[in-house]
Amino acid sequence: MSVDLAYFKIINNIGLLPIRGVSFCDVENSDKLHLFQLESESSWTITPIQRQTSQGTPITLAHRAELTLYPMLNFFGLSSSTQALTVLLDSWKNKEIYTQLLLGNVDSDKTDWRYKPADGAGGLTYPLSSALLTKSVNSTGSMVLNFGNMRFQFEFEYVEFRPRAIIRLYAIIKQLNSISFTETHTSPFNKLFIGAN
Amino acid sequence: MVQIALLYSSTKLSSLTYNAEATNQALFYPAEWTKPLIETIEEKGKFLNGNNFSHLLYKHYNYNIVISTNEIQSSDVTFLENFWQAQFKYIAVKESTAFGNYVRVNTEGGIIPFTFIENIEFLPEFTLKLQTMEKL
Repeated sequence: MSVDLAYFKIINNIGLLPIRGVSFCDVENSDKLHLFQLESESSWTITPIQRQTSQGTPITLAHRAELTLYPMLNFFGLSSSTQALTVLLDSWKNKEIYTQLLLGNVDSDKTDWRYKPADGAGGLTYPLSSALLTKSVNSTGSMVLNFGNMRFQFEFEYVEFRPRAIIRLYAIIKQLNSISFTETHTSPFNKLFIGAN
Repeated sequence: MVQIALLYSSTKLSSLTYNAEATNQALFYPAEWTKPLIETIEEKGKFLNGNNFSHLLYKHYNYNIVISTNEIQSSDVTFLENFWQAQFKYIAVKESTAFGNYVRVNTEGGIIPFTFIENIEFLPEFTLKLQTMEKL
């Protein structure tokens, strides 16, 4: 009985913060890229790098942040302008790219550089304008994870009748508070991140 | 958990009593620490009658310490570099509630013993082998 009560109590208090999009900025050249159509397999992890002490217990030395993002590849071949995207990705490989992950009901307005894409503008129109079309699933809260500079890698693959890209990003974070957790969510779940900040 | 204080100076300390406010001093919780190990130096030989002899000449304490990334801020890198180069080096150890007296130590010399975990430059680790200067 008490278990049932506990179950119903958490139903409306678990904050869902799905990945809504990701914003990249090459600080060196001021090139920016916002991707708002990411597949649900996309994920992010922050895991500790640990070491054993002479007392036999582990200590945490730093954290490793890894992002694996799956943008749909369909738009790559739609027009000559999309060639700019592959050129951009290629120029970013192995570089450190300033990365913000957008969670929940967040829009490009929430990014640091507040770059609001205009329909039909520039060579990156298609993924940018999708920001105005896609809806966040089951989430009213939002969070922006500012990872700072991350090492950028990408690859392509074909799964279930469609090609897609995989963007992988890596960073070593010595102190967790160097990740900026900006949030507007009010669920108890999210308070964990306020503590980490 | 053991805490150590490393202190360096260009002159010999006039007092070996631990001073929390001392300059050129930094405190660390080492990732690896064992009790000081006694090293002995003996003069050994054989008498003409065939008996062996052994004279204990000196005894020193050896400290094996690893200070890991979690304790090394960027300012500590500079401190450890200065410690490595200093003429007079001291260590004080807190095993329970209070630091003991400073003990003058020397290093093995050579290249400063920084290593990098998984070869990541952001994750330095400092491995110190110290020996007491004065014999026990």
